Amino acid sequence: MLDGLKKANAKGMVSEMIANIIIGSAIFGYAGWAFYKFIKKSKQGKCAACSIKGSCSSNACGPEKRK
Amino acid sequence: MDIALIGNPNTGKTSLFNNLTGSYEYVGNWSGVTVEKKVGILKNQRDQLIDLPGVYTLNPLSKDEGVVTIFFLNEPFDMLLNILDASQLRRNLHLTIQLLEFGAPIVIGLNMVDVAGNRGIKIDSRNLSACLGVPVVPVVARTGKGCDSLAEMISAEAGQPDIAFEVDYGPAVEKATAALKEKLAGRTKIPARWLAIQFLEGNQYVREFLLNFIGGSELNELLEFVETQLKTDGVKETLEQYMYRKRSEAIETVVARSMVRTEGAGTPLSEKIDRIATNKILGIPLFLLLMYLMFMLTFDWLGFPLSDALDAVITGPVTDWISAGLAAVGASEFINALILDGIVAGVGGVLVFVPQIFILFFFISLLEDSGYMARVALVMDRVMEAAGLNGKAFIPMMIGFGCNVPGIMAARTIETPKERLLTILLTPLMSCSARLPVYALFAGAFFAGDKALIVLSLYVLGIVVALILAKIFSITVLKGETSLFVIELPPYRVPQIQALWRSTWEKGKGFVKKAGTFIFAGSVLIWLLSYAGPGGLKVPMDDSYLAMIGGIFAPIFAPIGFGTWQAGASLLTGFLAKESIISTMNIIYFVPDEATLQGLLSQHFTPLAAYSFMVFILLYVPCLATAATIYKETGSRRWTAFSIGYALLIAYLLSFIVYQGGKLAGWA
Repeated sequence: MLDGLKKANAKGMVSEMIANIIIGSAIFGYAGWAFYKFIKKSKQGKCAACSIKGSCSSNACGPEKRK
Repeated sequence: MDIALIGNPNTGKTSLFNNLTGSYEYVGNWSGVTVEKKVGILKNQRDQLIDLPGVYTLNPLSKDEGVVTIFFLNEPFDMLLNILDASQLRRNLHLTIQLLEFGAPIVIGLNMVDVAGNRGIKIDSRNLSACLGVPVVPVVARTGKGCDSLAEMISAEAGQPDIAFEVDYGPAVEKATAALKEKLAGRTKIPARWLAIQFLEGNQYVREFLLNFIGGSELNELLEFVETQLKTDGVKETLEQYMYRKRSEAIETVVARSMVRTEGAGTPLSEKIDRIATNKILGIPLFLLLMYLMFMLTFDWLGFPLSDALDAVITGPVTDWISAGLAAVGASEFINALILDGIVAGVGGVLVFVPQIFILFFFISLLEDSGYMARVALVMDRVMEAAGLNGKAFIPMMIGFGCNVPGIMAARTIETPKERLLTILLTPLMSCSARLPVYALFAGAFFAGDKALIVLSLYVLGIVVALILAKIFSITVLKGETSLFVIELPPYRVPQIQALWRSTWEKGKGFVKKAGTFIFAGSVLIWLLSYAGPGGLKVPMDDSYLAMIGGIFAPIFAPIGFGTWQAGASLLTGFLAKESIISTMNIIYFVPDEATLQGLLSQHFTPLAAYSFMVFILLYVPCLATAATIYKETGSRRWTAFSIGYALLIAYLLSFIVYQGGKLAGWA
């Protein structure tokens, strides 16, 4: 019986570890990606980094050029 | 058939375009909003309508207006559709005459007959048509009234012969025109008379075009000939002024025959309001009062309670759910701390300010859509002129209150290179929305009774510093000519809720999106740097890597009141995005809610140091995206470095004056 409990406990620990690894890598993975995207976009400046690019009708950010 | 739609700014061109083509398009508030070349298909499914930027004349003042001249010189089209504002007939006809001189088939859409009627002006479109020799169709583009007959007229007029209307510019000009005609005979399809008139008026694009056929010295000779002839005839004006006068005289004849003033119409409401809103003495105080009310609503009356409630939700139920969820999956201490102390604190700390940001944007949109912002530009013109700029430069600056990036982009509408560069360099001093959470937090902690006044003082400080620097730069590093400011004042109107919401959302959504992306990532990174140190993981925060990095800057900031590693670290992250200053502080001073954070801050800052910190945040550096935009717009590393350098210098200087001056005055 004690053996069974130990096994169950070990199983629980493994699944907890897996959960931790999944959460941790998801967070760091997403953070890394978001950080990379942000820096890339900011460095482009102009339309890419503009907060109103969706509705802007100035020459440089016009629909044709945004493509 | 290609039809070019052309008219003065704010004559309802965009509405007419949408009515004739049935397509939807964003309608903005600033004059000259249509800068790109837009093409739509007319409802007959056959003809194309090309929407040209709004211009007052074909002789371009700015790059934007150059688009139109380039179009006339290079692109083939079959017909012109000229839209006129019936209430501003005299000014509108200047462009019309230049179009008539071009000689292409033309139909005139006489718009805003209703507005003109309200002002006591009635236009006899048949007489106008007879004077100009082209069809004139009265329309109300806003409602679509008359658009069908206009469309019919366009189809009927296709391929009509040339136009007979001519302005008599006097013998000198006509002689030059004849000479040019002879030289150009058969070499270009563009009418020689139009080219000659435009050239003599000083149209640079036309001059360049003519250089393809005629030598520069010959062109100069022609110009000199006309100028000397006019002088001997006793004309004292410049050639450009002379031609403008001749055209005005022709317009007076047309107007006299086609315009009837009806009696009995009182002063329109817009004009009554403008007597106060654009008053020389009252204009600026009224603007400041409105801003003060806006900040009271944002920070005190409405925004603060809402943010407080949101804070309670995030730090209460949301945090509880997340911790319960983490416990259920058996998350380790590391993951627990990462999510709760890092992400929830960092992202949540920024999200709390969403209500305040949206309220502020709502009121800014309200002021824009109602037509008041155009008045502010006019009111500011007098002050701006003293600083070596003009009122037009205030428009990019006001856009910069939302986000500096579109503000800098909007500087493209400014005519002279000097003023454009000045505006680009100074727009980052406008307090963008990302800086707002810092004010909200610090003003709440240290100046609870005068939150709105403190924030207003920062916004005004940004404007005042920008104006002083404009003056300094324009007499030192940036000498050059200044241009004249012309702005169309649209009549006041009650904004539509839907348009208001859209424009608020457009301005604010970037903030929300950034919280979910960059602030999330930044929070993870900052938390990790504060969790780890040379001594391993889970070190006391003062021994973390973040403390080490921030500590490098601490001594530099000591003389301006905040020589702590915490301030150093948050200012460093602020270069990437200003919002991250708040998320960094939330992580560093990790506390359950905003109120406790404010309590904790008072241990690290005195009120004077807090104000000095806010002044520093307002001015210190443009964020990464803004710096990149400055680089793209100026095309110069030197000016980009300059914009960062001068901002750092001026921020330090002013914070130093505030802090040390305040200490001397005994406020510390």
